[in-house]
Amino acid sequence: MRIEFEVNNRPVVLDTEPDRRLLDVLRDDLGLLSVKEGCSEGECGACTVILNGRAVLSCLTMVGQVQGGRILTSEGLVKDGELHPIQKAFVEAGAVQCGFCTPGFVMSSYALLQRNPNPDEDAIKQALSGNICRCTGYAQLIEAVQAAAKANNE
Amino acid sequence: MSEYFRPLTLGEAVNILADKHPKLVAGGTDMMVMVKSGYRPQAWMDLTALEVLRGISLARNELVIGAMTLHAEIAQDPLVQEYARALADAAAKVGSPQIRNMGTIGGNIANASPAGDLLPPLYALNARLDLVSKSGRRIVPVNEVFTGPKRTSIRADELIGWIRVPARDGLWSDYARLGTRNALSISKVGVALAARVERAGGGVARLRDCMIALGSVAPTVVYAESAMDLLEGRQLTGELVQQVALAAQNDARPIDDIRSTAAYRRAMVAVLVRRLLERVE
Amino acid sequence: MAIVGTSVHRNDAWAKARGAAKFTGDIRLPGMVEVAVVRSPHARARILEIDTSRASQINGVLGVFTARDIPGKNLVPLVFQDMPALAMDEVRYHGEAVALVVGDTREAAWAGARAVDVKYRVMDAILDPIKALDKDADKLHGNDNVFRRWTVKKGNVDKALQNAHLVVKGTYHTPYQEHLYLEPQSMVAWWSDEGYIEVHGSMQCPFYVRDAVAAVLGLDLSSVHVIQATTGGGFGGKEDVPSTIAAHAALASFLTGRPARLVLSRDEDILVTSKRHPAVIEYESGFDEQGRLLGVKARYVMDAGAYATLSPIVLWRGTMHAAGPYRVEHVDIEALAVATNKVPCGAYRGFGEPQIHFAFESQMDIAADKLGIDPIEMRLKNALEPGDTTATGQVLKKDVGLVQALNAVREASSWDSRFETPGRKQGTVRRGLGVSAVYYGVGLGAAGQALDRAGAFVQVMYDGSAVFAVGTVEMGQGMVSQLSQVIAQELGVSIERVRALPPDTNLLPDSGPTVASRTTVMSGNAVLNACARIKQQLLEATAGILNEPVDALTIEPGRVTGKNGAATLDEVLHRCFLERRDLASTGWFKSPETTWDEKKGQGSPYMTFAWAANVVEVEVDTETGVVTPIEIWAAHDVGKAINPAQVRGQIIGGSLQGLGYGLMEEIIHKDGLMQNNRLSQYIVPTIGDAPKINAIIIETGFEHGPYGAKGFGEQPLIGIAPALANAVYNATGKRVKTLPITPERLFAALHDDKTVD
Repeated sequence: MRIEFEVNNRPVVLDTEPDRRLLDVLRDDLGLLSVKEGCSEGECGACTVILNGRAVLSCLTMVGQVQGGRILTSEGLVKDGELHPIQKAFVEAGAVQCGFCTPGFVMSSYALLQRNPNPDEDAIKQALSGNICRCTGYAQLIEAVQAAAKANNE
Repeated sequence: MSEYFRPLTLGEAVNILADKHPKLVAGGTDMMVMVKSGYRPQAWMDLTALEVLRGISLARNELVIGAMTLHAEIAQDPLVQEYARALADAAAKVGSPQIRNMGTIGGNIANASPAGDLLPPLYALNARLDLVSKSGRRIVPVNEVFTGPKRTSIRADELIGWIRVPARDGLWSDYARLGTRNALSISKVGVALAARVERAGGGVARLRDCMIALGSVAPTVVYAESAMDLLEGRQLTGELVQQVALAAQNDARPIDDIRSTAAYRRAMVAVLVRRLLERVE
Repeated sequence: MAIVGTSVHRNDAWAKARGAAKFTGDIRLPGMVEVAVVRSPHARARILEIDTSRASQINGVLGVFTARDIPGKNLVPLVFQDMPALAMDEVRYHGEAVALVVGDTREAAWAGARAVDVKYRVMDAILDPIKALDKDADKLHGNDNVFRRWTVKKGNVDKALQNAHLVVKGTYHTPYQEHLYLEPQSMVAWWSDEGYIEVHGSMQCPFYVRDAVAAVLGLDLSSVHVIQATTGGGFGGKEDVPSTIAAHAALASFLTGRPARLVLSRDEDILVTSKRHPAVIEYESGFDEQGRLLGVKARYVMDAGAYATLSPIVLWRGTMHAAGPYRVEHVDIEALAVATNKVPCGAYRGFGEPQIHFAFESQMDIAADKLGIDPIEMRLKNALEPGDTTATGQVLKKDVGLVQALNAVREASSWDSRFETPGRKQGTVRRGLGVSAVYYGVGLGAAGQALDRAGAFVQVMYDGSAVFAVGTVEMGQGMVSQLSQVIAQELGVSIERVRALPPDTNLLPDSGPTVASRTTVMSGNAVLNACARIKQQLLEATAGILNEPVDALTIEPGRVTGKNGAATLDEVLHRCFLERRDLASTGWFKSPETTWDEKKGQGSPYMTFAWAANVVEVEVDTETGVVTPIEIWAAHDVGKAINPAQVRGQIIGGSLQGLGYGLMEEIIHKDGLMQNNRLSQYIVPTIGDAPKINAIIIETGFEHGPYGAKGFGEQPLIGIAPALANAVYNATGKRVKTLPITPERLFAALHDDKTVD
């Protein structure tokens, strides 16, 4: 089936089976390897991408469902080789350890800051509650989002 | 390879349903786990493009919620928050932000999990389902639809079009649950309560038309019928609250599973019912 | 300006933050095939027949292989030589590998795996380690089902307990814990008909992987070229397990002639990979009236699972620490690792210590309560201090920071003004405070001394950039940036221009495993050793520029200064170039000597110890049994913090894993079959479950550590569960001796008539 959508502000046209997982299409067909597979059942958030402005799980999305949609991955946040302020804040706050969960957390943070540029700690926790990190203990992730919000607002 | 249909209109959808017997894909959150383990039906019908089934409106004292409305939309909708707070609360507690951005109310109903968070509020609020098929429409009370865990009486040629929730001024409703952790959790026990609150001359409240629905403590959602009988029209004193909580506990038929134990679930029904009654405004 | 001791940003974080770091699953090779594993659905069964005919006919399946196809030994070598790469005649746990299916896609491989028909005759499984010790129990290992037994003996315990004013007795049960690193186990292997194999993957121990692949393929060690890929968390779970994953991928590649990848699904990963050992601990402690610990008697039984893997040495570490970080004259510890038909348990952050810490820190709390002594005061009375002798007879040097740690958490948590006598609180929701004292022997210790050495390679380029490689790995813990700091500090190069090469078994000497919180000390010293030789070259070149003797020169960031002048690093490097100086060097480090006399049950098992104290504050809903952790204060003696921000990261992250262990994580079996091997069912803390965690760093300076640093990465996990249980007791007056403290368990304790104590 012919499926058309937009990924990281570029149009994509694919001829593929529509019941493949969006995760596999992004990784295997489009080479967007920031999108990670951690659990395959929507419980870890490592495969989080933005679909039409909302954070969703690409492991539970059928590629046919994104027909005509707009997708953003961590690769799409990098502009002219420069990290996005959220990505930079993750480095500076020490929110990155093993790095496997990081792109998913970055996308959940991005979705939050798009809707709420001044989130309080509860809002941050709420927005990141669908992503599991086993390394950091989460404190530095909260600090990173706070720093990114501050940088955005300056 | 499975056939794949993506109807744009309801007419198209019911025809495909009648002719091709497809497996329906709403949010995909439950279906895709099966796909990963190799499941392929004869045909899929992706409901994502059915815009007509998405959204919430108020018509003739009824909230009409399209089956493809997302949990995130229900949780934040002012109409739902005003007329069916229990439902908004439950929707806000489903899974995770990402799951709430994908999962739909229709999918939650069709999946028929005994732990589905939206189901107890729908029972307590006397919701009805508007089922659509090629041969017409039928409206069924939600409590007549579930026949067992993961089983419903919705016919293979039917799809859930809308969920109709009575919207009456002065109806109080709330939802309380205990999960396995503070996010990304499945309910061990969920209790929804809906009632009209009467407070003659500022005195002790009385509840009328009180409905208490229990989730995760039986093969389907069940009403705490003896508790509801006890409550009806009587002054909501501390003593009555205790009696009702104990009665509700006996209306539950929980089991031991990997999430919790029968004994704990039973005890928690009483605690949650009591806490909900103590919150009545 | 010192670079060591400052919180520079991790230099591997930039690529990770943009999603560019290459994990094993991101490796794409031409012609690469995928591997799926056929696994036992039984806890114990005889394999009668493996019929591969149906699987072989599936479209895209390239081969189905069993133990009979293994060209070398059917063995994953470790402490014992007991575990096959693929089961031969008998499967011994739910999920054990029986056959490999190779497909040109993952879907084809999995479809093939589902189509392999294995006929089993189910056997009675041994599931309970205590019953496995019965004389007439069926035997899985030797004549008693005991993989290994260790003892510590000192003085006369029976007499000490007889004479004690107070004897506390308790039996403690601790659960499995799954690592749940976010990146599942994964390996890519690439056989070349030139006669060697290249293996890239997610791992903590490249040299273990090399040994296993060499064994199953029957190759020289030099023909197995193992390179670590970016590794998404380990926590011990990628110590020995990757050897098996690599053996499977290597077999698939060797037998098909194609590059082969094996990535475990999450369900499979939880089902078959090692876990923290469940344990049953019987513990007796005797005290005098003032609360001084007189004697300790303990029996520590670990459920090791179906094969020995690392159990003998996990048990050894647990045994060495079993008396607690206290002065005690009379000790009798017996510890056993017992075979059962369940998943082989192995390394997990803490390595046999969390279980026993839960027991002795609960005991200490019970005694404090009975004697009416403040729990922190009680620990201070007994805490090991510089110059003291441990239960095993090791005399401690000056780097013993336990008293400082206890005082630090006492002050930070406002303990003295907030701690109330246990069990007197009223109301539905009650708060409580609990404390724990912790110690952790750094490095492999006497039981692993032969492996306790490490190598490094450092090269400075003429443009002022540098590369280095070590034989231990980065798995998220921050090794790369700490070692980069060392290089920048020693050689004056800019830390942004130091690059780490991945560990490579053919280019680096066997440096042992990346475990036991040994990396900072071992690889740190190996890098220092390499830097010393390069530094000498830089100084000699500078001496020529400045006309000053070498010993008058100091390396600073970007320059070398003397008494009368300075040369920029660029000038110095140019001079090195002209003088044809060698700016590349290897480095080597052997751990200081340690001893263990097994017969006597005494010795000096570790080069040093890290120390810690934790205070946990909880809120308990007594109607639901739900425990909400409010705040944690964790003070750790790390010798010297090379990067304080990363030390804090280890403390907070480790503490939360410890909280999961204490509160929610457990594996449930039914008739020997694992029931909750899914991420939706194995419950770990989310951001919504994480309390505020305050990290406090204490620096006492370790004489053999780089800049005084010692390893401590495992320690943050260890003391949280006991402090949590003590806080729950403080809030409710109920002592829970079985972890995790789930709402169900605590509710039963609070509402049953019989007490849990």
